[in-house]
Amino acid sequence: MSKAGYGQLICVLLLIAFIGFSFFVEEDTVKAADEIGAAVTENISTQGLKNFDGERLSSQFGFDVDEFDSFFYCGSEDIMDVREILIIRDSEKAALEKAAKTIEKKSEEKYSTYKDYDPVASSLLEKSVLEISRGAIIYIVHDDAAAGLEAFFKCVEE
Amino acid sequence: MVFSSATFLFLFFPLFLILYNLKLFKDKNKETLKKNTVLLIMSLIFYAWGEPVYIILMLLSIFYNYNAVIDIDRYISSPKKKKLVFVCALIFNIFMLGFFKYYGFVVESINGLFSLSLPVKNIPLPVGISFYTFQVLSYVIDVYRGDVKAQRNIIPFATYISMFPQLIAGPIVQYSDVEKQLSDRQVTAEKFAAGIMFFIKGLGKKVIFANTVGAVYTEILGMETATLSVVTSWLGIICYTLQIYFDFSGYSDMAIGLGKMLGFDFLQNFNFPYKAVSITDFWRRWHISLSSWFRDYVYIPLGGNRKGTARTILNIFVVWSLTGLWHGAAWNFIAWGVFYGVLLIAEKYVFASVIEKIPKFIRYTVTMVIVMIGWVFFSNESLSAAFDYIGSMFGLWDNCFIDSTAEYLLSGNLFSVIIMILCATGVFAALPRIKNFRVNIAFMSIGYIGIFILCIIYLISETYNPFLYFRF
Repeated sequence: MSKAGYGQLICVLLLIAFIGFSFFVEEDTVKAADEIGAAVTENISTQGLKNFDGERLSSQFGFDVDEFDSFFYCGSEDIMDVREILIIRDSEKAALEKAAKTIEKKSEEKYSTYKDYDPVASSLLEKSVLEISRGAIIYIVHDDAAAGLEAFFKCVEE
Repeated sequence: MVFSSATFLFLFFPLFLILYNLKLFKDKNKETLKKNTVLLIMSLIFYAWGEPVYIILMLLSIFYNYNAVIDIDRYISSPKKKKLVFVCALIFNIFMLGFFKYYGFVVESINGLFSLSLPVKNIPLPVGISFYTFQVLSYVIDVYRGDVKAQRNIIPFATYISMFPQLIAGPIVQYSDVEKQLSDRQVTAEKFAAGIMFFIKGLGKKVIFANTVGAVYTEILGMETATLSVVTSWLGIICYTLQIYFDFSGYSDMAIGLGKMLGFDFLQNFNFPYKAVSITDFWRRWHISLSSWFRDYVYIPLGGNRKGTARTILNIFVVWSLTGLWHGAAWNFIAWGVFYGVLLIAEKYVFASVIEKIPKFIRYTVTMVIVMIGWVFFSNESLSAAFDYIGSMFGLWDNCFIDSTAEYLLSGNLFSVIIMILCATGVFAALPRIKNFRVNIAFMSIGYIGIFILCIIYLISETYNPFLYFRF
């Protein structure tokens, strides 16, 4: 076989490997943020929390919510209650990463605001969870953040 | 990365131009090789910007076909071996395109047909795969036929496949059209200026026109079909008709313009298709590079019109089914292709003698109505949704003729739609030019600068808006 023949053979093998690899790559969930949010809030207490619209989300994080495929946002009306659950679904990975950075920054700002005078709030913020998986972001500030995160993973992987 | 983004306009392209035009060698050949290398590297960055994983696929296509063509050239005196390598190359390319574009569609169709529930993995479509695969196929076939020489240097070959101006959404450039330019091209001031004008024209078509009417159509498509008035339905499809033309021809103009700025001459991809007075005429004017590709590499090899009427009809049917399938892995695209196939056959064999006798205005109107009905299949996600929409266009679901929604949409968009129709049908382009060269240049410069500024204003206020043809 010629050198060029070997070149072709290697490319064929690599293509097969690439296709095989494509089957193992995790794919995005088809569920909307509302559905994921419902699964998460089933597993953690939402007493004192209520669902908010995009306006509230925009004012809290500065997002243009129209850019996302869907979102779920719930929090407390009480300014001293830092608990919140945010889920964003988007097919664009870059958009999710950008949103996650913004959330992280806001969370840190909030933590530095509360840390000197509200140990409960600052402790919750310190233990807050921010993850991206299967085309969705979850951000939870809650006593049961771990349970919420588990429910999130279960829901998006189904 | 899209041409109509700030990243491309103000970062990528200026940086690219600096590197591309940086003169490093006195020797012309070395300088061209440097230019090709810069173009190749920047094209790979351009592609990887949005498709970091699927760049592997494009590189595999480049390496495989480069080697295959070397072998085809080597076995010139051994036809059997030459044919074997050629057939393997065809299989490789068609399989690669077929798998990444049609795998999901095929499995879902099998599931639907045999009531099975085979798992379907959602594999994203690699951007531009239909375009670069068709380019590479044209090259392999041309070398096999002996129409072009095999490129022994991988840099110009990889540059041809990955060239960022036309990589994502065409036009499909045949190797024979750029073979000489890959090894020797000149960028004159006139050519560069013409390139800028083409680019701005395309940017304006996309940002100012396509996005504006696209928003109207999206709004109408979001409404319940049964409740649409006849006027709203027609307004919607007129907006989509304009959107797809300005979107796609805008991209082609930008690609042609960028090509000129780099010293390439890509062939025209659109020639005022909405001036067409028959379906045959329409397809001579719309996506010319794709029609030419199917003519040269499918229709003619199948025998074209040289093997009798029945075979010609079959050939047209095959070509148009494939054209539909090329546009997307869905039944509505196949229906769209077959729709045109049937119409073209009818024009050729049934109405050929009658058409010429019909007044031009009536021919034009009928053609446009047919084209718009075709776009309904194209723009809806399923066949049933397309038929529902067509029903509302003709009031089949007891739709009222006009309602307050239609009046509201017309009052806000009628003027812009009329302007766009005039532009799309070439009325403005046919206006007499100012004869004084300097005055003409001054007016054109002011006009193009104005369009560019307007585009930037639109881009700042808009969110991400990809080109429609990216999904093909």
